[in-house]
Amino acid sequence: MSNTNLQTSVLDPGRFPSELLEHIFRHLALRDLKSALLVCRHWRDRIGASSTLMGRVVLRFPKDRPLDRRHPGVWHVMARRARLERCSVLSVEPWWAAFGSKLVRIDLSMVTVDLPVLLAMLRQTTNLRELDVGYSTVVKGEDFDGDLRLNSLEVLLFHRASPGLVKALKNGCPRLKRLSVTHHTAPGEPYLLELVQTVQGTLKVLKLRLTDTVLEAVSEMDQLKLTNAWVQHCNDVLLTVQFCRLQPTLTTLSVFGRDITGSILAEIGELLTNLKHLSVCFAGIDHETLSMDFLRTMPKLESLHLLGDPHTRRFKHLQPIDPSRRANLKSLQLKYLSVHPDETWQFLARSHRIQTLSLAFCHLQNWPQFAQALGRLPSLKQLTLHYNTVLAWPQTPARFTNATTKALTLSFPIPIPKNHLDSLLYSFPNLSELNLADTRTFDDATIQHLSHRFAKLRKLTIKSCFITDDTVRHFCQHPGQLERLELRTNSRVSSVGRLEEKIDTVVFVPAETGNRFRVFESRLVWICWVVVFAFAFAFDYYYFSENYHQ
Amino acid sequence: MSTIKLETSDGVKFTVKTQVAKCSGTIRTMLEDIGINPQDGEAIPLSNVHSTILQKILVWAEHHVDDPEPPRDDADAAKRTDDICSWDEDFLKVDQRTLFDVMLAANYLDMKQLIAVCCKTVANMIKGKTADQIRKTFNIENDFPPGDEDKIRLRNQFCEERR
Repeated sequence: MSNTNLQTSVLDPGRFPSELLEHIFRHLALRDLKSALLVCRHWRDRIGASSTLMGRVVLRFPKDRPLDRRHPGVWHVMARRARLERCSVLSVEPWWAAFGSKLVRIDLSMVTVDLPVLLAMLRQTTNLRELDVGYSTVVKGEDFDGDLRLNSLEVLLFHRASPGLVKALKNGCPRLKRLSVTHHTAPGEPYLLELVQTVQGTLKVLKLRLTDTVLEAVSEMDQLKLTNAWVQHCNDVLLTVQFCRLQPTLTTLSVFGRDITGSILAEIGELLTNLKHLSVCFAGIDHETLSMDFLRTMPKLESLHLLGDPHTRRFKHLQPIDPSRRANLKSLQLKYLSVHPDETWQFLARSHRIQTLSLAFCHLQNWPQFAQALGRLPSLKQLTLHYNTVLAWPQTPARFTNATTKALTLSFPIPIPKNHLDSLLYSFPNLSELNLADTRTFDDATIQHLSHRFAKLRKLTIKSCFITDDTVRHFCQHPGQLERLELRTNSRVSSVGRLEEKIDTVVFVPAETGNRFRVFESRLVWICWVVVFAFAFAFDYYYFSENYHQ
Repeated sequence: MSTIKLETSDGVKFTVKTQVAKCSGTIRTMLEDIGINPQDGEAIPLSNVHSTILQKILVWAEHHVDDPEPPRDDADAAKRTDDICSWDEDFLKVDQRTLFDVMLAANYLDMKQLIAVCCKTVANMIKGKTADQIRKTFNIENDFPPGDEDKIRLRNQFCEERR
């Protein structure tokens, strides 16, 4: 089929097996894959026919351009995933059919589409496995009757459920494994429940807001055995407890709502004997402290994620964890919480298996003890300290060493004293990934020490810090082992110079002040023009009226 | 230490340690499943492999005979190519013809590790090149009708890597 030079090419398709060629292509990044597509017809066909290669590629339709009968000029690409963003879909006939049949995933983000058009589109994507409707608007819904069958569909995600689409799909997706609905309305609820009812044998992951009707329907579904659920109760926390009673097979649970107390969590722990991952988001203002005693009911728990209310940003106080207990947690994430000093840190120091620790927007009391706890975590790999408030920095920085940590993320908008920052950074000698943001005490001098100190550093991100062009010059001369360097919105860095020649990936985002100034400047020009015209007009008027009177 | 004999396409016979020969999935299957008895002194014929290439492959197998099984990784993401060990790198510093013959033989002998390291080497030869440069490197003729190349380029401009 190919005119490839048979005599001399080592990659002659007659002799070189296609599966080896695909094996080679699997090592290429998309940029190189695009070049490979243009080499010859044989290569193009091999790449296009490989679902592994094309599964990596997402076709992103141009934003803000409505899709209509006109050919968008992109349909011949062999992508298996498509993303439509901020556009309206008017009609996709006739070009969609050839393209849609290959797709396994569609993402619609802020898209406006009429239900009949969407259904026509989806009818032609027979191999679709994942559909994310996101924040899109599906116009008209309830009263439109249409059926849709997507036999391969496994994942269906909505931000706001479209009753019409759910109604059309309720008997048409026999393999659905994951259904996620953040918001739904009362009129759409029966359709949603009917859908859950028909796929109860296969459904494993569900995200839904709990109401009495939902619970009543779930209680009648004998085959529904979820492993993973995200539930939201508005005011009645007992709905969540009841839901857990109905679904004892859950291993992962996320709860969002009011009135979640330690004793409620303990009750959930007793109901869900296999619980491994728990995430709790406390809604509403809650002055109560949370007792961590519920952990004793969850012996298998591996990851715990606690969030105070993100809207009110009131701190929920964590009551001390019984320090005599040894926890099996591998991951602990706390956000918007006030962390009690002594016992919590002691608990942390005894959590030998913790690999991921993240504290964000928390009040940290007693820093030295916290630092000591960090030094004693023998499995820690990832540490994130993001926007925390440390109530008092002691005179001398805490000294500890944690050699296992590979990735560190730090941001201290309320500045951390320079000696504390240095001491903290040097406590992790084996870092390969460092992410620093919004920390004013982080400057050129720190960078220079740091790059000499961390020989294994491969990825570095610096965002909104006080570094200057000196840092860029420094990395030009001493790139070390760095594979990726991101410099984002650092107001004193003007350009990345010749860094791209030294480091594989360089991402540079200039500080926004420049942009703001440009916007301001263009507005100023407009204002000047308006003033000039106004003057001209006023002068003309005055002049003519003078003449007229004469 | 038991040995077996292998016979290449040009009739050369090699005496190889069984353990080394078993780096090849094809030979392993022959010995274990089909039950060819190596003690008979009869050589296993490898009709697709030339003696110069087999010699090279045996050097590689001898060096990697004690390697542990590699972990299975995510097939979807673009795989790394910067993890070739320096011994392999030196080993594969050969002319293109030999490299591809080694690769074809490794494929025939079903030696996954060697295939992987060869593929990485070839992928590194493709990286950062334009289509024209790739064609020149591997001596491939451009068989697109005039204008098609631009069309493909245009159509693919909206593609991006999955996150």
